[in-house]
Amino acid sequence: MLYLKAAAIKTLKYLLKDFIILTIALLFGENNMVDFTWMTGGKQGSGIDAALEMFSKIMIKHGYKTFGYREYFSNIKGMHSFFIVRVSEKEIRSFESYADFAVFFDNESVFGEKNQHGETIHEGHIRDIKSNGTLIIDKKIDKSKINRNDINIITIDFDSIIKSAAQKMNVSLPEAEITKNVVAVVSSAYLLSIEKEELIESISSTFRNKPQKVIDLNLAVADLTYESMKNEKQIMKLDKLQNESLYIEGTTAAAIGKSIAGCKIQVYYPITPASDESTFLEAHPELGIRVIQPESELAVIGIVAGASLAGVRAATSTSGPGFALMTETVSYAGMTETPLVIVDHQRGAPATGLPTRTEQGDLLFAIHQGHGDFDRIVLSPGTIEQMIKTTADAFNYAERYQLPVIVLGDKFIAQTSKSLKKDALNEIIDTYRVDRGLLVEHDPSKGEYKRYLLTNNGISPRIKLGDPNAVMYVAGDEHDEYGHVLEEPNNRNKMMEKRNKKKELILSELKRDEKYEIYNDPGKADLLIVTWGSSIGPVIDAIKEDEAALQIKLIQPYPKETVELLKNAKKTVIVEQNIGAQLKQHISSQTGFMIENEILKYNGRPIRCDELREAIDRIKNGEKKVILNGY
Amino acid sequence: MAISLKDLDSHELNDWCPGCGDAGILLAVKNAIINSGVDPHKTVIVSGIGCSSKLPHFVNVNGIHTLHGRPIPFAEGVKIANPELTVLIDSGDGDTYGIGVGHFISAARRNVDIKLFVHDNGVYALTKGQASPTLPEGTKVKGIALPNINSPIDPLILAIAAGYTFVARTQSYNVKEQTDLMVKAIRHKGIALIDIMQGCPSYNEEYTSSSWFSQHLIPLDSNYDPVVHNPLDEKEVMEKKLQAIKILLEEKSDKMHTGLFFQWENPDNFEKRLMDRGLESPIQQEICNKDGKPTVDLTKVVQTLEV
Repeated sequence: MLYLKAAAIKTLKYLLKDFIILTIALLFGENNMVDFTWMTGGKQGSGIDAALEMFSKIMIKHGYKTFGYREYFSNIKGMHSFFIVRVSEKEIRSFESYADFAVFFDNESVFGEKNQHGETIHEGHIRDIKSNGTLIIDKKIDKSKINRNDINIITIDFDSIIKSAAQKMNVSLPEAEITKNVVAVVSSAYLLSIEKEELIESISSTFRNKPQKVIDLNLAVADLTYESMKNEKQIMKLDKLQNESLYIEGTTAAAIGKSIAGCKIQVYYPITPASDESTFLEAHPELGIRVIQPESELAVIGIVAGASLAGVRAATSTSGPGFALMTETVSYAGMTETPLVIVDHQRGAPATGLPTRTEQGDLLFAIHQGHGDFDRIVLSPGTIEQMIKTTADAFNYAERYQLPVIVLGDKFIAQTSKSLKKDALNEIIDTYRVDRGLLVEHDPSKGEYKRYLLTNNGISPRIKLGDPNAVMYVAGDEHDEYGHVLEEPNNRNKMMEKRNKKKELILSELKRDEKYEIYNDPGKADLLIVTWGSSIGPVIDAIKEDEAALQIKLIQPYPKETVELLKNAKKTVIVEQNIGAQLKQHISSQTGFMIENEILKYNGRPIRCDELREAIDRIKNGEKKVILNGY
Repeated sequence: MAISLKDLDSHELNDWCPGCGDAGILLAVKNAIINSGVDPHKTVIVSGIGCSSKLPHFVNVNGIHTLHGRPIPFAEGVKIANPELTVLIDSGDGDTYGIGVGHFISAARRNVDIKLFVHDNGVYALTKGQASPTLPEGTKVKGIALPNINSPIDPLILAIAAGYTFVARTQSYNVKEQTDLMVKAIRHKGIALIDIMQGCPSYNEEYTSSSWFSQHLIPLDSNYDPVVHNPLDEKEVMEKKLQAIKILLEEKSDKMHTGLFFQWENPDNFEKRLMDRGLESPIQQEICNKDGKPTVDLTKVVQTLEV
């Protein structure tokens, strides 16, 4: 499956051991493209989480694209967490199951862990290293217990490096322990032949906002690590490329989307994995966004609705449990035609579920949330770039159609960190236009202001509270055109119809690429993969030329025209990260079309590119349903 | 331009029971809007759900009739978004001290400049008279089969302890006292509570009639000084709080005081805290130019993303 030019292999053979040549081959994807996976892990709170950012930034600075992912327990200190960074020359949107090289400094990361009842908590990462891959471990880990003869093991004396650095910089040993992440990252980067100067520059940049003492300690550790590696053979020479990229996380993408749209109030209650979005905004007061953390999600959504009635773009960010608590006010916003923007970074559910793990389990809930019938919009971006744009668009939709808009993200996107081309970000910013719909100042010549004026398309002119020419009444009770309570049946019919005909307007006005995306040509494909949200990343990376994909971005109201693609497809399969195949159910209820095959994953872990590839092949070979279980 | 009571009539007629105390509160609210000199267009009455919460529909100012228990967050949202607005809440005791009690306590932590006028009649009248959080234990009212099994809370003590900066009690049939307190509350900078003991002739006639109020409510002593004169003097703040709480703790449910118990114009209000962070009034911030192009400056954000 992998091929290097014969001449190159010959030269390399001359220089290096056979073993290392194989490793190099593995670091290249097809067509000699650099595409490899790096992994690390350790106890939460040990500083290891910073390794992902450090390593990614080194790779990005070196000119490569990265896709990083973190997996961790709902715990502050002590439990095992691990981090995967895939590095490539080409755009990547997913990660793979097996690492080309990995670095660990605790026994649990390598050998796994059981709890007091003898139940497995996790199985350790020896199995995650590719055949002929490289494992860097701390000297204290018993190498003889590693039952892999097919991998290259390098041992480093983490403790002595830390001890020397601590002495040199005059800091206490416990204080210096946290820099083990630097040992892990620098030893890895050394194996890729990254120059020491470049590493120093990269690490300085990563820690640029830290006190000088911290920077100096980290640099001392980097230096000592690099020197201690000098006798090790490097795995490959990773050429420096000239690509300028940013490093961004999914929650930051949502925050930027809100900033572009002119959101001025963000209200949140702490919840994993959503809080990072709000804390990012709070850390940037120059954006002029008032970030407020009240007592509950009930308060959160009330404050958002109040701000929206005052004419300010306001939003929240939450996850399933918090989203559920907002339900009554979402129904209120439907009834009172109040714009709301809610980003739901979904996590494993039901109930508290898997707080730090991913799932796409809120789709049907988001569509139906709230008592009674009212139109709303449910959007689902699938990549970080889409997360920025869709979140910004959500504000335009909320104001144009005067209803709640729910953006369904998930933990997979929220806590993915990747390289992002600056131009790509600039393009999103430059092409976005704020559209506040029928937000007006009341014209007194038109008589008394009617908030719920009956119009052909169901949209009434909306004013801000404090309008100089009018007062506004808003009621969650059924109301007349003025907004005063009225229970009369004919009025009830008119108002119900007003609120429930917005979907036609939405479907007629939104552009194709706001509703769905198509990858490859479904007309020529043997298989049409239908998916939504974060599942699209691995789908794009996994599909071959004879397979096409349909990504639904506008979940509700559902773009029914997509049924033609489904009907004409030779074979269809849904790919979702939930047990109920919720989008499949939704498409069936909206169009009558039943997608015949399913690839589902609900163990709380994101879909990996390679497991999906294998599942697609099994579907093509006639299996009807494949459950993925990659950890 | 002076406005009259007539100017404040909406074209809705109230549907409260004959003799309902809400009518007295409605008149006091209108008086207070006139006497405090606020601009009706820049005034918002936020309400919850219940008889009390129909009030916004009967006043010719902005009215937001929200959900049961949620008027406080809505009001906070309005005020934080546009600090120039005068934001009043009219809601019931069930709404504020029952289902919304979490908001009632927590709002004081922010000291947002909103005014709570709580119509407190001891019952959930619109659902036919069940016991509310202020109905004394052992009290039998018309809408419940057996005497109230829950003990009551004292909203004024709670408010002072939580950090309300203006705490008063009055009753619905005394329009003058209500008006005066409401004007003071509107002029006060910070979160204010006026607990208005409200007559409910349909479900709690025995304990909320005009005659019961005149027999069992007495104004605070004319020498009682509720005001913290030096807002930065922590000792004075504590003394004034203790003085109010002592009177309230010593009260019996059939001998209570009306008037202003505590007022502290704490300069540390939420608007100031936000401004101290450099966060300007949201309504005043332009979010785009004429073509709709966003005006936000992402330079610093992008800098943090640079590797």
